[in-house]
Amino acid sequence: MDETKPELQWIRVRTVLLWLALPLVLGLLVAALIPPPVIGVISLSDAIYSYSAQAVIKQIDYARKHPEVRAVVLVLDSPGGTVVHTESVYLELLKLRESKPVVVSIEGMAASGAYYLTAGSDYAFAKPTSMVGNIGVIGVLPDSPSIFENIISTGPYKLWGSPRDTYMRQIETIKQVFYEVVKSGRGDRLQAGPDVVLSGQIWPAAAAYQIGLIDELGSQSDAIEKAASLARVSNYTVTDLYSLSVPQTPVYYGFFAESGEGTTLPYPKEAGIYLLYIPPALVEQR
Amino acid sequence: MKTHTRIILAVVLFILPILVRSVTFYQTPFYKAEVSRPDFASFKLPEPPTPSASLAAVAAPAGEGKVVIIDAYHGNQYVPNEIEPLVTALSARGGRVEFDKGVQPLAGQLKYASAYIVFSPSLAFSGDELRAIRQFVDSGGRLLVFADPTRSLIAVDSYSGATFVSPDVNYINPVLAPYGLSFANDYLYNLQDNEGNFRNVKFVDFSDSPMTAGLKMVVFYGVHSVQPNTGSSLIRSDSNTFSSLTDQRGIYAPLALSENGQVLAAGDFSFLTNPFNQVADNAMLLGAIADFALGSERAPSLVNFPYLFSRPTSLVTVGEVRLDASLLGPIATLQNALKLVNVPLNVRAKAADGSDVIVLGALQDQDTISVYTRPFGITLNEENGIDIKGLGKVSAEDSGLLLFSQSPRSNTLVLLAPTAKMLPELVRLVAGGDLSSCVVQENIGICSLTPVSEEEDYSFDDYYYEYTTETPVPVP
Repeated sequence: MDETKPELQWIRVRTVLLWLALPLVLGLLVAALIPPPVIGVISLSDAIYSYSAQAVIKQIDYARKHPEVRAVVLVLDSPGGTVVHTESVYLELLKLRESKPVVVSIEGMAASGAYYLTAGSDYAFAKPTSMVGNIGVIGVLPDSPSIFENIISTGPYKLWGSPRDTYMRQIETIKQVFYEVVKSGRGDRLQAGPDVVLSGQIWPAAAAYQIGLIDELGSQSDAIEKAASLARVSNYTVTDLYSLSVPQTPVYYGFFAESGEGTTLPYPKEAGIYLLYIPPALVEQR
Repeated sequence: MKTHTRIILAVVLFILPILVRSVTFYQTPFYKAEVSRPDFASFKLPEPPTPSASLAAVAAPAGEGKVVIIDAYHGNQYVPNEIEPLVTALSARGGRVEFDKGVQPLAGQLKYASAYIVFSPSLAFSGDELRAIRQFVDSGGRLLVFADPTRSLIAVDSYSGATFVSPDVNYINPVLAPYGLSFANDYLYNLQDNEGNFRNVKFVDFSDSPMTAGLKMVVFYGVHSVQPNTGSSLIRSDSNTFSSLTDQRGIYAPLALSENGQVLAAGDFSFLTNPFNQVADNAMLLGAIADFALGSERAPSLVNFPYLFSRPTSLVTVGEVRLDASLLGPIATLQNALKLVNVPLNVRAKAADGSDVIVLGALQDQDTISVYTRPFGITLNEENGIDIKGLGKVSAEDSGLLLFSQSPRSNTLVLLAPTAKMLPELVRLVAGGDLSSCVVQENIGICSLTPVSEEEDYSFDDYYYEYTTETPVPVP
């Protein structure tokens, strides 16, 4: 009997190990593979144009493809930019929002195109004196078409792109789209009608909050907490997605015009249609 | 422990840490949201209103020979190319367009004008110019004033870089003020129903006026509102229109007429230019404005000399007046003055049929001249006095009379000096076109003349004498 006892004990230990400890260890190992949730931060502190838009889109793409990124906070400090690049970022944001919440945190300014992106988020925070709004489109009409002795083109608008009148109407259409973006994005939260929203005013965030252009006055950490809350995650980490998604710095080129002395001016160096806020004194100088 | 119990226990132990970690990190496994997005494909370019009329030629020119003066002397913010459609419309109606570049005083140019048009000035009108415009309008001339909020002059201080906006309304409102009209320093906008842009405002509310007859919709492209304090608004906005001055909704007028119907104020002139005149009924309105400019009925007045005649003119003398040497010089001056306005003056013994007439006579020939003075209620009495009905008595010794009468057959100007010797002075005064030393009341003028003594010879008055004195000889 005494000889069989240790054998029995080993069998019991083996049984416990096999049926209890091993599954537990395996469970712990598998659990360890579950990544902790990440709140990704994407910063846009520039005008919205090809360079900055590509950088933001890469980060959005990274967030969408990596399951540990459970929500995104878009930190904005931008006067807006070109129409097409604003739309590019906006459409990518909408796609991301289908699987992950996006919260905007406005730093200094979310004007024009930058507000377009704000309207495409789930929730928007701003500091009380952040500047918000300037909803609208700006563009310089092309010259009236004419012909030149030494330039041969194959149609009346080959050199001019479109008739002046059509160009004006295109700008009006873009404005209508912008308003629709704001309406559909803000929904019932929008407290102002088109006469106010489309007036082109830029408001301090406290005033923008009153008319429902943003959801709350608060800091970037408030935005991160809100993003985690919307994603229903806790014990998360916060990661700047730029370094993860844009390993190679794209070639930078300047969006804004420069004075003869090399000073950067707050208006674009190329003519076009923009969702851009240009400070008023400089509009006059233009 | 049975085998199935062991299996259940093993599975539970395997799942437990996974579950704990999952719950710690993720309250629900996956976030899924329905995201609404605008239907981008549904947006279409807004269409411009269909033009209802073209800039067609006018079948029956109604303004034949009438002259329209366009201001080009007050830093006006337009280029001639822009207003070509209006110039064409005026020309098509038989009008002649002249640009006032300040070569001669405005009063002189307005003497013969049917209308005076001012576009967005950036320089102030002088007191003399304002007076001349006032007299012009009082005598039946028409004043058309166009401002435009897109034509403000922006000046940059070269030292500080600061910008100063100088709106055209600052310079044009003093011109309009006597007629109870003024422009607001604003622009109108409509964010809901506009012509391609918020500042392109559509107007469909018209008052009952020949200017607006037949109009259904006009569009102004950046327009000041006009405040018709005593006049009337010809066009009114809808209630969704805002003024940039107050950002308040209201009914605003872009076009107004003064109470006397002689002054038109328009807050925009882009609608006259290409291609904006092709939109809605803008071409019709342009035509109506041209008709208005040429529609004045100015009665010729003495102060408008030499623009009293439109036909070849005969100069005749009556009574004791002879064409002597002293009179030939002043008559030549008179001839030149009329030549400038394309009116030939011929000296004749008797007025030619169908011509206008200038009559030279002396008051001392009472019997001869009474045929000219009587229709004006003027009688000459025995005490060398002139009785003018409604005006009183005037001395006939040192006063010249100017009498102007107009009829479809002939216009007649009578110049009567106290004596034949004083006639050259009166002719010279009239030929110079400056009647400021004359009292002019309707078509009677009384001019002060210097009596000529029999001994004095004034025939060399036009010459300049340089008096020299003998050089003193030094006394040794």
